[in-house]
Amino acid sequence: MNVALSARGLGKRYGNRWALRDCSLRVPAGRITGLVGPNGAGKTTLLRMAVGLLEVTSGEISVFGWSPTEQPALVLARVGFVPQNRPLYRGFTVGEILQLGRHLNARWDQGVAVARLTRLGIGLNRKVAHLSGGQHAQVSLALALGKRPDLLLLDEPLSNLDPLARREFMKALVEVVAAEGLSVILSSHVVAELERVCDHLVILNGGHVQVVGDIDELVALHKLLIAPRQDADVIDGDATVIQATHTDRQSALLVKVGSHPVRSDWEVHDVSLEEIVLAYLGNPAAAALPAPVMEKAG
Amino acid sequence: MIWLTWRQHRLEGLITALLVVVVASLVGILVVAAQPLLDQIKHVCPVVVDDSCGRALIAFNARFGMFQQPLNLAFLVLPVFAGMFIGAPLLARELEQGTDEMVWTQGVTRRRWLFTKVAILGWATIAMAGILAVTGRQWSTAVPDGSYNQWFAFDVQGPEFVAYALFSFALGVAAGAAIGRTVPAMAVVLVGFLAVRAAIEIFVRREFLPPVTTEVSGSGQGGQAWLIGNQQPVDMHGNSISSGQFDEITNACLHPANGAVPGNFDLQACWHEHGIRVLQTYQPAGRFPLFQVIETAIFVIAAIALLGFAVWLVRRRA
Repeated sequence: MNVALSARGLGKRYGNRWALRDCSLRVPAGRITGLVGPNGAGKTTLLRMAVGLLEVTSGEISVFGWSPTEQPALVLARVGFVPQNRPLYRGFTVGEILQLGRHLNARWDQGVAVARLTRLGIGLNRKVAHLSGGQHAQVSLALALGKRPDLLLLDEPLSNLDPLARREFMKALVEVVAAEGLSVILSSHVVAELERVCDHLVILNGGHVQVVGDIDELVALHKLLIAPRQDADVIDGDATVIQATHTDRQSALLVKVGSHPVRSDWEVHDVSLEEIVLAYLGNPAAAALPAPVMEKAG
Repeated sequence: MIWLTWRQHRLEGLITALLVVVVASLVGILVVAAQPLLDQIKHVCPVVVDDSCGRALIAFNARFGMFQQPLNLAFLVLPVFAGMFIGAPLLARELEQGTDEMVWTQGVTRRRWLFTKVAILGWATIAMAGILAVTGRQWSTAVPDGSYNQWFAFDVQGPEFVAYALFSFALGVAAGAAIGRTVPAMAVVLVGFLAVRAAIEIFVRREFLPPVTTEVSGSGQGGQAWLIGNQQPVDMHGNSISSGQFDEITNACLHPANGAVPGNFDLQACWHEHGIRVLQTYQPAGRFPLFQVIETAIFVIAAIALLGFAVWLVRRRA
C-alpha cells in the first residue's frame, strides 16, 4: 500500500486539553478518504498538522514520508490545502488569486486552473468579495489544484454551501481525482455526503482514531441483527456489538461480524455507512482498526 | 513574492510614497525660496563690518523661522505611518482574516514568506525615510549658524531619521504578530512609537555621554553646544547659592558704586571677586555626529529585536 499520510502516536495539546491523542493511522495514496467525527473530534487539528500549520505535541506525522514542520518546502510542494473557511484575499480578483498561485508554486498549472473556472462560468475579473459561496469554494479548490498536488486536503469543504453547490463541488472533485489520480482527504461531520465520493474512511472521536478502513469492507463487515426482545446483548460467535437498541418487543444490535456465522434466530440486515458511523460515534469504546496500524502504534 | 507583496500593500505604499513626495517637495521649495537670502547671509556675515549680517539673519527668521516648528513636528510624526500602514497590517491582516492558512500552505514556506515580505517592505521604508532625511538635511544645513542651535534639528536630518522609520515599521510588524488584529496593532504603533521617541529625546539622549560642566565665562558657552539645565551659581566650595544672593552680586557688578563700568569690564572676574562662580552643564558641539550614531544604533537594534520577536511569534504559532 502506498501511503499518502501516516501518523504514529500523534497528539496535540492546547493548554491542558488534548485535541488529538495517540493517533495512529495510515491513509492510502490514490484514494478519496473521508475523515469524519463530531465537531471537536480533532479533524481540523489533524489536517492542520499535516500541512505544518500546527506543530505536533507528541508522536509524529508524515506526508509522503516527509515531516511537515521539518521539511515544509517538500511537503508544501506536494500538498494542496483548502482550510475550513476557505480564506481568500477578498480584495483580489479571481485572476489575481490564480496569479498568487502561479507566483508561489513551482508546479503551478495556469491553463488547467483557468479552464476549470471558465467552464464553471467564473470570470477571472470577478472580485472575490462578490462571489457566491459556491463560486468562492470553486476558486479555493482551483487554487489548491493549480499547484498540481499529489495530496489534496479539504477541511469541511461543503460547509455553508447550498445543496446544488455541494453537488457541483463534489462533481468537480471526483472528476479531478479520476483524471489525475491524486489522493484526497476530506473532513466532514455529515456522513451522507461522503458516502458517494469516498472509498476509504477514518472516524475520529474525542481526539482518538476509532475506525480506519475501506468503506466497502466496513459495510460488508457490519450487520444489523434483529430478534424478539433479549435481556442481554448476548450473541453467539465472535461478533462485536457496537450498538444495542431495545424496544418492548424487539432488540436490534449493530455488530461487527467475526469469523463465525451469527446464530440463526437473529434476522440479519445490511446497514448503511451512515448507520455504522453513528453507531461508532455513540460508543466511543468500540473500535475498528486494521491490525498493522495497531502494532505500529505500540 | 514580490508581486504578491506589491499587490497587497500597493495602496498603503502609494499613499505613503505620495506623502513622502509632498513633504520632500515642500522642503525642497523652502530651500530654493530661501536661497537668495541664504546666499546673502553667507556673503555678508563672515565680514561683520556693519549690522547688515544681523539684519539679514532677522529677515531670514522673519520669513522662514515659522516653518521650523511644523517641519520638526512633521518629521516626528511621519515615521509613524511606516508602522501603522505598512508594518501593522503585514501579519495582523492575514491573521485577522484567516488568510495565513491559505498563503502559508502554498509552495513558499512560512519562513520564506515572512523574510521576503519584511525585506521588501523594510527596504521600501528605508528608501522613503532616506529621501526625507536627505531633504531634512538640506534644510537643516542651509539654515545659517546662529539662526538656531544644531541640536534643535537633531532628529530630522540623518541616519537617525531612517532608524526611526525602521523602528516604527518593526514595531508594527511585531504588534501585528502579537495581537493579530490590525487596528489595535496600529494603535500600539502610534502610542508606542511616540512614547519611545519622547522618552529617548527627553530623558536618555542627554545621558548618551556624561555631560560636561564648566564655568560660564562672561561671553557665554558658544551657540552650538547643547545646554542642559540652567546656569548654576555656586560659591568657591561648590555649594549652590540662592538666586537672590546671585542677583545681588551681579547687580553690584553691573552697577558699581563708583558709577562707571570700566571699558574692559569682565563679569566673570567680578563674580570671582565676590567669591562666586557660575556653572553650566552641557554636551559639547563636537559630540553632535557621535550622538546621531548612538541614537541611530539604539533604534536600529530595537527594530532588529522587534523583528526577531515577530519571527519567533510566527514560528510559535505552529
